[in-house]
Amino acid sequence: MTIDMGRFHQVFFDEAGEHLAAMEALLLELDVEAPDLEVLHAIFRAAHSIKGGAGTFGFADMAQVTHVLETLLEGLRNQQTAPTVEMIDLLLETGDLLKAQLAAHQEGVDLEDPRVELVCARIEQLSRIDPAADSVTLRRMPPGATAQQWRIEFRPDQLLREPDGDLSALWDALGDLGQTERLAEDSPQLAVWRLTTQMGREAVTETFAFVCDPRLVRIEADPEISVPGIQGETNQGESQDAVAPADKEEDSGFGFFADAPGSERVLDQEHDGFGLFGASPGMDQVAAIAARDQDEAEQGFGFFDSAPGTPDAAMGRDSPPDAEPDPAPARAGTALAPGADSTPKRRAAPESSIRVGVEKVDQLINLVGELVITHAMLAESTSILDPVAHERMFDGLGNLERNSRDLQQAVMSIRMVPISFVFSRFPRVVRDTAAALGKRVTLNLVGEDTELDKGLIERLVDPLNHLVRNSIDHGIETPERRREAGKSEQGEIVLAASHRGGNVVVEVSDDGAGLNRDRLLAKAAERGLVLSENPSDKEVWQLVFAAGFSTAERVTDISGRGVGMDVVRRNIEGMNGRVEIDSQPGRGTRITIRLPLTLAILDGMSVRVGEEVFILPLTVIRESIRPQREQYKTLAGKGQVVQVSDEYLPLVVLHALFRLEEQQTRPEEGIVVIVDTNEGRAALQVAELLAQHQVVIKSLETNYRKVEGISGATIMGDGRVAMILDVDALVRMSRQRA
Amino acid sequence: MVKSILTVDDSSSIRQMVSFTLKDAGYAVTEAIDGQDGLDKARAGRFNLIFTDQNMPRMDGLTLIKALRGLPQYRSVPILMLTTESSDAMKNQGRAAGATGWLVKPFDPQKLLAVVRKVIG
Repeated sequence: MTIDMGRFHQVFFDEAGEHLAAMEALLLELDVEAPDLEVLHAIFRAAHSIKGGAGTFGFADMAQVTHVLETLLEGLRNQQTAPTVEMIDLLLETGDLLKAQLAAHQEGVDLEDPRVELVCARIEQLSRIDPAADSVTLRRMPPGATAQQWRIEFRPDQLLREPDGDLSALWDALGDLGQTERLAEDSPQLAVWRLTTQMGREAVTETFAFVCDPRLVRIEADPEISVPGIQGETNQGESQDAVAPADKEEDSGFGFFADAPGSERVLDQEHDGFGLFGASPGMDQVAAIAARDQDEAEQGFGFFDSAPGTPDAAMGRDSPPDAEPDPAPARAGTALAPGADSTPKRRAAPESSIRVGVEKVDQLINLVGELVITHAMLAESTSILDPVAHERMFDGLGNLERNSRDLQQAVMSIRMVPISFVFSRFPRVVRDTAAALGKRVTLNLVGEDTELDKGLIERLVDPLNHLVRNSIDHGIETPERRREAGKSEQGEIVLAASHRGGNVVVEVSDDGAGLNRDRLLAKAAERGLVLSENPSDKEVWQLVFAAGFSTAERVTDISGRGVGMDVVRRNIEGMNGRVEIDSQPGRGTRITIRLPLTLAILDGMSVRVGEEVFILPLTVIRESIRPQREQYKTLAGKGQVVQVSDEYLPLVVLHALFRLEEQQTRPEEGIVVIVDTNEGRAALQVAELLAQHQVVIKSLETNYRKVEGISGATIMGDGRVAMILDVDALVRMSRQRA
Repeated sequence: MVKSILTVDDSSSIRQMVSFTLKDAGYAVTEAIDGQDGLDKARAGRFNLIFTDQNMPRMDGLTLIKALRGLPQYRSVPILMLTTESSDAMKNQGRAAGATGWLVKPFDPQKLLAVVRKVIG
């Protein structure tokens, strides 16, 4: 029977990814001064699980790295080695490496990375600082066991990736098992070593398995010096699969614990990769089967008649174990308390989830979108009917609307993931960035449970990364400067997420030096950027997002090339989101990102401009007014404005901007919609407000091309296509035209 | 009569691999995500064979084996440890806890099936 291991790979990838993320979070949580043993255990378990999976599913490179890693972690959790900052750094780096290897396997390739050797060597070095930390000691036999000599032959040129590679790692690994000696000078074609160890062939093979295909290595019991005390050595087992008579007491090439406790008549059976303890509970049933299978010479396994002719055992094998009443399960539970209660903090959640491909969910969302459009069409075509005469139809339509809205929300919620998926990477980013810049920074995460669309989460990673690095680099001052300014030496960055209205708001704030208005203005003048006269702070801060704009005194490799912030803004706007900056000199800077909950559906207001219908997202609309003639003004340096209360709002005349025919050209006949933009409020002049809709967003970029001032398109109930307006871009365009 | 097997492992990929392989071969398989879960499920059901990992959150494999051996209905059911190391220290601990045998990770599905067939037919 062949079993396709490939079908388990995706599960392994997901699981290993989760383990790596957990490991990183735990490492960052670990206090080097007073390490929490439970955290060390959890880190070890994560590495251990990855190793087990990687080995099983054939990802030898990951198995190798985790094996080395495990040795170091074993020492840590057994408190034989004390954690150091250097060690944590190395462990984090190893985690990165494993992530890279994992990513490569997901792409279906092997990662060729020189770091692997380097990192492994460094971990081994650290593991060895304290000889007691060597986990391999665990493998050593109890005292009194008999030593065995193995003759090991292989071709170094087959084993090593590089022609002039080094065998010393292998030599050292074998050295952990016992005493190694070279029987001949190593040459690329042949190396002959002898290992004197208490370990079986399996341990030797296993050691090789971590560096190469063990089949390339010939491991033989050394016939010249046969060690008395272990029978079967002279058998020289040609291979592990050698056929041995079923009634013999041992398999070829393997020693048994003849002196092990509990092995009276019934001896242990050790096979290729598994074994059975003689006289242990459960052996009755095993032996019963074995007795039946005695004739089978299959795979050379031998079984012993531990319970010859035990009819009870023979019967027991076909029926489930006796269904005796469970004696007081509660009491048994109490008896287990030490084991069960030792890790109450990290209680595993019961599994009640299924993994589904994202494309299936997306297809569902698309279909719901179509349903929403279909409903809109039905509503549109029935609107001419008499509601009284067609009461049942209108009731039905009302139900349809409610149901599709519920369905849509339910489907959307599948795609919702907590923002902790993004936030969780930042403890590491902050730690590394601050260390590289010689600054002291703490990170506070707020509202990690806030949920938003998975697609948005993924696209939020890069902008947030940039903003956080920027905050550390340009916002937070050096410890000396902070002290001079009378602040604590440790800067603080807060990453906060919350739901506000129909939006998700993500804030990155720091308590650093804040933005410098004069410097920004000087820089803007130098670059010839258009600004209104006497610009508001908000407008000035917005300059930061202009392409190629950087006032950094020095360019570092962290940030400061000025290519980042405009990309950040473009990314956020690409998600129909907005970025705002607030800054107070000496007190810090806060960057606020507002995102829609989802990329797929939008609550909008349809407005008419000439013959065309446009959609304005409801979230940007403040109010709509019909201004008096005298409220329209033209101000020097600001162009056309509308005076609302005491404020002059820039006026965007949509029909002029889009060059559309408009019957009523007199401004006082039109309606002005006051909208929020990232430069403050603005006024959009339209001919008429039509209705409020829920619209399904269709990307203009994928279906046509990017159009400035338009963030997407939608299909209306009557089948017409309407453009969705991007107010930030409109205000910019309008100013440039003016 | 379909034989039932309990597999206890905190790694869902290993668990799935064991479970799929054995189900394909006609066994009934129950999965448990750690020692405590394994113990709960073992109490609730009846199994002919139990596989358990060693390193798991909440309750490790050796503790689970000891607990199972304390239950009358599991006094003589084969319990095999899935382990990444085949050191003698591990074996002695396993034996002392009451394990019937061990199976070294990594293993492939064929090896697993061969062992299961040996043990419970």
